[in-house]
Amino acid sequence: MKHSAAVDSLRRGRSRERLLKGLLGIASMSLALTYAVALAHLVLRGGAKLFSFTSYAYPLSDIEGEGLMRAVVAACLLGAVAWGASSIVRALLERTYGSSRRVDTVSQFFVASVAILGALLLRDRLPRFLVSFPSETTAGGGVGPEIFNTIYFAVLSTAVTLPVGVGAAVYLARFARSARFVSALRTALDTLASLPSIVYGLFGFLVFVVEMKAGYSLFAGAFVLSLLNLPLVVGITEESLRAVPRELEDASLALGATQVETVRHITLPYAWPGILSALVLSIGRVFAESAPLIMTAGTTVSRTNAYSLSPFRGGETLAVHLWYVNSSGLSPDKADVSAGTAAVLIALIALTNMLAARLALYGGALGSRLTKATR
Amino acid sequence: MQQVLVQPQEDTLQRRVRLAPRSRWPDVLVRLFVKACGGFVLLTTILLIGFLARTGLAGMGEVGIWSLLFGPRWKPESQLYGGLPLILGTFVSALGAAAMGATPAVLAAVWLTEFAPKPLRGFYRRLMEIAAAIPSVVYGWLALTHLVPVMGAFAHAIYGDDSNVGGEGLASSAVLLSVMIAPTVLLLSVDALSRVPYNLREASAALGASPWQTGFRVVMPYAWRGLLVAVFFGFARAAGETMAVQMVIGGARVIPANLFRPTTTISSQIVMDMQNARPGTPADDALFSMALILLIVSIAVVLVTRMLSRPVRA
Amino acid sequence: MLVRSELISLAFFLALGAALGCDKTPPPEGTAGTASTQAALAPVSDGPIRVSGSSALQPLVNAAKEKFEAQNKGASVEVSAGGSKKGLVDVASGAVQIGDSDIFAAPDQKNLVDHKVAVVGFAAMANKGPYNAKITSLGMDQIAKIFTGDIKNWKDVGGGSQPIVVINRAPASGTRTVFGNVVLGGDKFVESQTEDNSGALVAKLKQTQGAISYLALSFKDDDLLTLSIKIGPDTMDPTAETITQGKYPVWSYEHMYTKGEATGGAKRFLDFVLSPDFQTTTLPSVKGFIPITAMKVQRDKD
Repeated sequence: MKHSAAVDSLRRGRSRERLLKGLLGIASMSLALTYAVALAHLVLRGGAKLFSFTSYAYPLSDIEGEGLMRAVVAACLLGAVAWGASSIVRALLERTYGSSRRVDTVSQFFVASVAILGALLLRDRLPRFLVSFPSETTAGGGVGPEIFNTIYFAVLSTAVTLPVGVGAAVYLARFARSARFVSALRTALDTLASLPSIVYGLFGFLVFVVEMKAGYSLFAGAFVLSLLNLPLVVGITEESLRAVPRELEDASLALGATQVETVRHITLPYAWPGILSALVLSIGRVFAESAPLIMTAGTTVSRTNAYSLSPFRGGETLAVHLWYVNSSGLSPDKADVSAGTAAVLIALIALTNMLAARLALYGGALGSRLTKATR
Repeated sequence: MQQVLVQPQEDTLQRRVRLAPRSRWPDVLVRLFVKACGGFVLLTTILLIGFLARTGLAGMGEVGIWSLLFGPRWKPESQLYGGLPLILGTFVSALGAAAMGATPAVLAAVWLTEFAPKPLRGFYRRLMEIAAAIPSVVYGWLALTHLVPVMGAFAHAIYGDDSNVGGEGLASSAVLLSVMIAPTVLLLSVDALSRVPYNLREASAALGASPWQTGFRVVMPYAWRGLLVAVFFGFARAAGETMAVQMVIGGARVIPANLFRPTTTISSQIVMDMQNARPGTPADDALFSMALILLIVSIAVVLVTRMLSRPVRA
Repeated sequence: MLVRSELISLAFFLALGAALGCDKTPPPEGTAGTASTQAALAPVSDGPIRVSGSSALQPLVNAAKEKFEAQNKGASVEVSAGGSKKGLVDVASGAVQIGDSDIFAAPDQKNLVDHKVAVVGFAAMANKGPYNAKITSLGMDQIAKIFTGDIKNWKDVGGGSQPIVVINRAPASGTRTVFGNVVLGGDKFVESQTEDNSGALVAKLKQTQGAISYLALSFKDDDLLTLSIKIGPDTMDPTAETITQGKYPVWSYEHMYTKGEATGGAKRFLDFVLSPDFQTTTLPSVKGFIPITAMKVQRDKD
């Protein structure tokens, strides 16, 4: 009697649980679905602007460096398309014939040749949106200089984040002596991690635009962005360094290497994939930030130095352009320009995410635990 | 006899240890460099807080803390520096976002780690990683074009067709922020739930619990600190969000009558006013004071999460 | 699994690319001939000329910029918005060389030199609906009461029952200052939602029932109700004739300020904008702008 009642209630409970599990599953999937729908909408709406190659020749204007920029964009676009096609073909071949080095080299050669040919032949027929200048009041503006500025920001800020972040992490993980300094440093990193991004913009504005009177410049924006990324990079790098097996380092020390030599030859190479994935994540953050940049790098692009490599000029990035077009722009095709800008941003971010996922596959502290939990 | 055998070995070892180089001159430079990196981080942080505090405190001195915290109207051109609409706007949006966004995110995280079918898990996580990496201006623009009209229709449906409500306001900004923080909160919760040792789940199953019972009565309570940290992190991010909120909040610098009237938040007001503020004037300094208030709140939230997460990390 | 998800996304992009054909829209005016413009008058290469400020002046500045850059190879003018007050702050701090403003500079900004380049009128524009189909003009005090929030419904001014939704401009806007000074006697606007982008403001006025705001006449639109003002027994339409004769009161000079006397590229650009050729041929063709020489009345402050 007791037993069957217990079994009955168990059975009822199990079906009720199944219902609840199903409901929870449906709720979670619909949560994911909203994001997938939003992403698809962005890509489709803006993709039209990205992929419509011009049928007339769009000659170079007099902007310095534009020829090189167009060649690079053509190479990247066509290289990506070729890589996608060759990946599909390679996957199919692998399934039937097994992996082969010859197929790999042929596909790499194919991708490289398509990229170079594209750079040479299609330089004047690229999607107009990706290479032309933005326009304040007329229709037909593009985001060419913004793309260049976005990528240049990524490069500049990584150039500061990489040495400083890895150096600070190496200090914390391996060479720390003074406990007070370490705790002060950790508090500083926690503070930096908790600040809203606009505070970084205000700091950059105060130091670079007001005190140093340097005006809007790229290096102010890059400095502020690298500050923003330091907690992330230092945290992940430290974790990667600590994940290096102790035996390897002990063996190196036992063979007579100094501590610094051990770090250089053993620890860092082992932790390098994790460090690289941290840098790639920081680049993703650089692409996404706009508030600090509005106050340090400005909201305009100039025809004379749109593609120049000098970091002392101001420049607008894709995220800033998206905000500016929607808040102060007067062009009639605002909606299209916004959609295209958002699509380019999503494409860049998806690329960096794919890169980070691939790096995590090789090891490092970041990838293993998360991927194990969801594998 | 033994002493004779041991002695030469010790001598050799000691000699080897003495001869092995512990540090060459490039090593000193490298050690100096890494310490300098740490010093640079510390110095810049101090500078950052210092600059902000200096201007912010000057602003508080010029304008008065009482007005900044409790004044009802922000109108610098008439020397009114009431920060209450800004503070209320920030907190109501952030709390609403935490309630509406963090709850489904935590539940979805539990589903993902405990109940989801295995082939789906990696795909779901990668989708959420991309969603978390989408820039906030993109979310803001999507909200401006799609959410605001829907909210306006909704507001008119509630309050009647001819009432003075619209799509721009706290409701829109709360919904937008909840959509923005949900992926991040989900990923952090998955991280916290994955730290739960597997043998706990095994023990629970061995005692006869179903996966549902294990998930909600064993795993989730064990990881409650990490989950709370995730929710707090989402709240801090929602409070500090600037650009997206500025697009949908309307920009009226008063306390709104209901959730569908325009108002403002601290960070969006800073961005709007900073463009044309003259450095050195009370108007400019007051903006830094509001930024200082936001900074203090953010640091407080992070300190609380640090205290919460410490026992788990040990 | 990694390869599979990558493949899916790349296949998606490829399909997208294949689905969309070539872009057959004709090239925009002027870009096809950029490489072969007329011979340069003087090679200008001392950096870009930065201009910022009023969004009401922006259409005129852009028209001037296109002609100026076409005539001076190598010259480059960067125009950004932000509002009249931002233009003044930027030019005073040296961030830009020319600051556009609808309003006179503050008395304490002494070293700014004023160049008046045009006259622009402003008007109250509202959403067109059945509730205000019969209204074409309102008294000055009625308009003032609408914007201070004392009149809250269109039926109080002779229309159907529809609440009035006031949309304001940002505090940095010169339009707001001018409209406030002339119509309301000061910045006494009721605090409501702010929309700073004139293009978005026009769109919002068209969409929102009962909405009303104030814009420069360069943004006049047939789908919006532009209110004339009743002063005494006369009804003043906001047109060039009434403004030049001083009958329609809501207008202001468009100023281009420089810090000290203009030099270099900024001077060249200013000379171009003030040249008789530009003022008589190009300026009147840009909607909403009136040359200063046509004005029969003057003002020396707002």
